[in-house]
Amino acid sequence: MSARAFFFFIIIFSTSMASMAFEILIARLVSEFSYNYIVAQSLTLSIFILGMGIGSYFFNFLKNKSFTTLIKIELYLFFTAFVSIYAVYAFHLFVAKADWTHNTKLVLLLSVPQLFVFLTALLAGTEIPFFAELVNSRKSGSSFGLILALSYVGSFAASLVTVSWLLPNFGIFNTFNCVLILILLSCYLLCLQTGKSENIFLVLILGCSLLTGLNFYFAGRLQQIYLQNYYYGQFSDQFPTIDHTSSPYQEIDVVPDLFTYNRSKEYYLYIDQKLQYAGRNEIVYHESMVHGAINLNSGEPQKILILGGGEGLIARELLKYDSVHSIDLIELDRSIIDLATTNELFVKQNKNSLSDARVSVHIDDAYMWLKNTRDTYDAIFIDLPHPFSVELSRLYSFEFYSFVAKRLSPDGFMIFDYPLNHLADGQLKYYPETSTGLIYDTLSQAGFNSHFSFGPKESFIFATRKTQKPAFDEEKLFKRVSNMTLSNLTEIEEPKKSGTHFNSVFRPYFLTE
Amino acid sequence: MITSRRSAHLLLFLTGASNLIYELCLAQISSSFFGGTLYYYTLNIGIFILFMGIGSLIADKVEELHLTRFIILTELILFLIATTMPFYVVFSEKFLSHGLFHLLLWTTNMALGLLSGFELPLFNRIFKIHSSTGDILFFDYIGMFCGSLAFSFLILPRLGVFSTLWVAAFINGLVLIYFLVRRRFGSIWITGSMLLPAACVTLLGYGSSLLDFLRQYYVS
Repeated sequence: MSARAFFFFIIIFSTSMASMAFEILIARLVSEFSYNYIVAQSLTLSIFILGMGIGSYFFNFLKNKSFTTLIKIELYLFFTAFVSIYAVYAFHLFVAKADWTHNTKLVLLLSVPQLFVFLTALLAGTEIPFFAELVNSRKSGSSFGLILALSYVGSFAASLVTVSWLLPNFGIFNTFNCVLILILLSCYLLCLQTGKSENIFLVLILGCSLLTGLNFYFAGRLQQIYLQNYYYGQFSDQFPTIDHTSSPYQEIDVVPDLFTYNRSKEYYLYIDQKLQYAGRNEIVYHESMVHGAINLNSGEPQKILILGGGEGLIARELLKYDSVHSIDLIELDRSIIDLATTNELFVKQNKNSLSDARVSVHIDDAYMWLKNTRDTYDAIFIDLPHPFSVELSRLYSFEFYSFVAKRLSPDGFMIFDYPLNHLADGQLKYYPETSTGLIYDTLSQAGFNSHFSFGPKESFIFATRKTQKPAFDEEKLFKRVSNMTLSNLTEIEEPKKSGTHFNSVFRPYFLTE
Repeated sequence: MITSRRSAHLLLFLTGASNLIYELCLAQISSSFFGGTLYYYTLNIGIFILFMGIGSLIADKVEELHLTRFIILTELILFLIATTMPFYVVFSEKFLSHGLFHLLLWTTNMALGLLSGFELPLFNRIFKIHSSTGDILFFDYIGMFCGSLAFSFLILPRLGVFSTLWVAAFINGLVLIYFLVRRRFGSIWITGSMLLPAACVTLLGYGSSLLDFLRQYYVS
């Protein structure tokens, strides 16, 4: 292989890698902003592919098909990618502050960032036929298939490196910077291929490298500017630092409470910018779930399984019972466990529950753990996100509940967060009965003969396989929970069941507004 | 082989759409079984694309004389994998260890990626009389774009992931028939191949009973 061909292959590889990595990052941001992963991922991928298609077509109309044009395209690619990250974040802040409905915001957040994906793909798409043409005209012996192959291998490398290595180690801002470096590398190599000195391009590449260097240097500060503007409404050096973690699965923000931080160090936990709990209010949720469920059950459980709840707050409440012998806690994301065991705010809040000898933490998917384990439990506590998309509906599915039923002892119970309502446009909105009724249909189908719903503020469903009519023993409750929690421990009416449909992995239904 | 410009574009569009549906279905199946949607989507798409690349390289080695036979074989294998996948995924998940089941899904991903990768360079060679490389890429990409939109907004939410695979397999069945007819294969071949899309329609028609059976088997 000649040195020229070798350079050429590196250019194709790095350009493809950069454009695919850019697509992955924007898809990730759109997923985070919209909290609708499958739509965000496939929409971004489809716009990227559309852009590539139109780019290939657009190539037919290019008059000057020389290296100089290719360098110009690479430079346009750099500027588009460079501007995109600022524009997408700025647009998100603008939308977050706007007085629009939840649906309007969702549509805008899903669609507007696609403009940048489209532009990037348009430029990248022009390049593949360009390379094919240049290779043919130079008779290097390379074929269209080889060019496609290199382009695909570059895309694969992007998906592997971006998710598994770059994002967890460098965060999203610096991963964007790595994309910019790859584009600049292609530009530089193309300049070398022109065979004559193109000073203007070299100066431009130098300028772009300087911009990227500044981006690297200020990445941490830029991220704080964005996060503080998003969570606090403005940026100030006086505000506490927001702890941001990019894990392979999600973006995690630990946001200190501005008013109480200096005194009691309270905080909020956000996952993909969705509030998981507020330090000062979590007590109602976790006390209701743990003490409410144990109170409804006839006996205190000994062997317990927690699905989700990696922040250690359910475990904290459970460890208050002497009867508890062992707790298995299943969490998908190791970053959450790291926070719960090392971050001083979390350790203070969960009373270091995950370090208790009775608690065993397992890093695994809750669904797969349930399916594969042979252990049985007296109680299963399920603390997972609401099923408002296809991907989350599996955690409320017939299959999931069937596995739960199998892993429960005959007198055992399960309790989970009942998706009765949610916050939208700053107001509490209830899901329609047709959606919530499906949960009861699914539970019945999976063999849970009794269900009891409680909690007008923080809602839960308590379910057992044996037929019974549970009721709260208020005398015992007084000793266990705070007054705030007591008001939440009242029965709520069950929705109408459809009797015909139920949610399954094989035929998903999810919550609709 | 005589191929009109319009039908060439239509075939590129259809295969582009079915390839992307396979890609997303595999990502969805992995994330359904193992959790972590963002992680498995990115990784599955990456591996699928890598094997498309390897497929493109292999396709370059196919001799001019055997292009259509190769395409026919590719479409047939794609069809068979996609139609049987729901069954072998559910059954093997029962019997295989966690690691082996992972391996099976990755192998399926690689196989579908490889076969899908054959299509574009082969079509490029078959259709180059009618269309430029830019045109060929354009219709393939437009097909992928429509396939992706249809997957997330239309097919997956209504049919679930396994029936979505059968929709994509139906497309491969149609492409297969087109090439058999154009290549003037014998009537037995053509009639036989008609059974393939018919099988998909039957699978889709009886989808709910079949899925009930699979579901009960899966949780038993």
